[in-house]
Amino acid sequence: MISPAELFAPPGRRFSHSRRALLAAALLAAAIGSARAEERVFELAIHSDAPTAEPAVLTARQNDQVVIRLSSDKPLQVHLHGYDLEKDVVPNVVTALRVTVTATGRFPIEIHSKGPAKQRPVAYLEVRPR
Amino acid sequence: MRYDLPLPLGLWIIGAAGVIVLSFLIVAIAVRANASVAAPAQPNRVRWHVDNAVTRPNIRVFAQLFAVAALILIVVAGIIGDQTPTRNLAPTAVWIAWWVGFSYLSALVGNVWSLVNPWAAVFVWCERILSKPRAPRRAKIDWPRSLGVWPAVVLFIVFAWLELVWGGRSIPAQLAWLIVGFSVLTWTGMFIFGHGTWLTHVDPFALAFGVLSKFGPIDIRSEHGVCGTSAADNASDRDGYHGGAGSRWSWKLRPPGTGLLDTENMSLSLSVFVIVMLSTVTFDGVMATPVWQRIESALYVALPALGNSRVAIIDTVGLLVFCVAFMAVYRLFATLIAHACGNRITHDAASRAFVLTLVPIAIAYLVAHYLGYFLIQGQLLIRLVSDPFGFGWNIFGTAHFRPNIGIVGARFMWYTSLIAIVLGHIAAVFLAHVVALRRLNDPHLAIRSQIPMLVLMIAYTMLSLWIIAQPIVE
Repeated sequence: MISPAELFAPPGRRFSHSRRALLAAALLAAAIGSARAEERVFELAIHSDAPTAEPAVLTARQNDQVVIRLSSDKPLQVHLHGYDLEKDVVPNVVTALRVTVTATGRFPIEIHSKGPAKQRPVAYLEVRPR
Repeated sequence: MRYDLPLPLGLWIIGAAGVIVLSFLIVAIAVRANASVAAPAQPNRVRWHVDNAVTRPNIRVFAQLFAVAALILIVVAGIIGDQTPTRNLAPTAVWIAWWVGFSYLSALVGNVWSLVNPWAAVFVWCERILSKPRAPRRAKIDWPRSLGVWPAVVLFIVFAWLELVWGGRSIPAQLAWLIVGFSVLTWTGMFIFGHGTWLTHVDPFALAFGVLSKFGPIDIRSEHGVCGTSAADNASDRDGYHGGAGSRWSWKLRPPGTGLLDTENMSLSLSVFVIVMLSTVTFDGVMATPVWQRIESALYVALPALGNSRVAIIDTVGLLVFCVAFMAVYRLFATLIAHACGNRITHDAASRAFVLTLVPIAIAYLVAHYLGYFLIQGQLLIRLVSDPFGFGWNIFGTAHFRPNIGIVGARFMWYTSLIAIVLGHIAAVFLAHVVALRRLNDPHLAIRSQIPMLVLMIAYTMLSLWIIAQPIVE
């Protein structure tokens, strides 16, 4: 039997129910949202004497927050083409290159050194469309 | 620097399947409709003379003055400007605006280059000023007919090497001195042989843009004949062929691609020129694939005796092998075509008749491969016109413009590439069929002759599709 108390439950309680639902929906939306635009962290260790045979491919989706943690055994400058970002890297310190990847494409990451020889990219950042 | 994402597998399969299915569909339709296809002896041109509008002499002179000024600016910038490739006008203006830009203009509009060619313009102006009126200057030496367009074939291979292998291609000063050298060669050649002969037999760019422009919907002609290609071995066109400032030019609309049906004046050397063009364009793509990179690395390790310029040597050999392989394959298929139609035409005639029908596949590939590069790297020009020498100027206030790398997304590029490649293939198969019907005058023989051609075209299109499905490694 339904108690009058339940029948005439204060509106606030029902409201709190729906508010909980709203909160859940918001959390879910946030979860989906974060699935849509994630933060992606990559480690990129550069050994200047032993160039990697195959450049690494870092894959992200459009609008992701990309963090590339750069480390090197020598001081050098790392250049992300396209987005045209440069970071100076010093030995034994991890330097983070952060970028929100709004444009799709395959962007080479190169080392800019004073040497005359053009080096192959150390990695490619592939930003795929959603 | 190109930022294209490789074509995904799913789209690759759709494209490949589409190409094969549509090929057979076109043949099936052509079998039924052969009578109507074979009927018009002339391509179905929409005749629309606008003689006195765009090709009006004074407008042309204005365009030519602009082209000459641009040429001078590029050379001066290259020599005195900052030598960082992206801070100097020369590399971007030459490789993107001129080479890719005019290839697109030729293929999708018409032979605009023949109207504005600054070398021809300067030569004609000088000739008009220096020669006596009523007595047009004669060429010093008649062009030996047996030479055909072979010099242009050689120069085009040299150009392809400079574009694809040469380390100095993006160094402004080296590029500028190369342009100076080409100018001296061009004007000397024009002086000796007459500028019309030079443009139709030796100048690789006049010929290349001429070949591509046969696909274009606008047929630009001087009153003396078709510009750029064909009419090649006609000795009487020695003087005034490419029209001075006063000569009459006209333009007509035509269905895209129908200019490629005009194979009457195809010489053997010109057909080789076309194959060389197609092979170098494809080799450009192949060089950026991981497969080529692996071949390069393997040979680099295997051949230490070649010294420090090993990569350049390997690439040079690769370029030449690619050219020769393309020619050998095409020649083999020309022989198969001759066999398939019971030797009604010789394999020589077959190779001359069908070579232009491969051009739409190359144009489709040009669109697929360079459009993203053209749209993104081309934006550098907005910055460079304000500061052509890299001296920190800001003439038009655009010196700090940052290229928008998101101007076209990967999805747009994928669909554009795929549609271009499928459409190019359809156009090629269709045109080859029309050529076969006209040449053989027998629908059954025409169909039979087209079986080898269809195999060749499918293979060529698949090669293009395969390249754009590869991640670019440069």
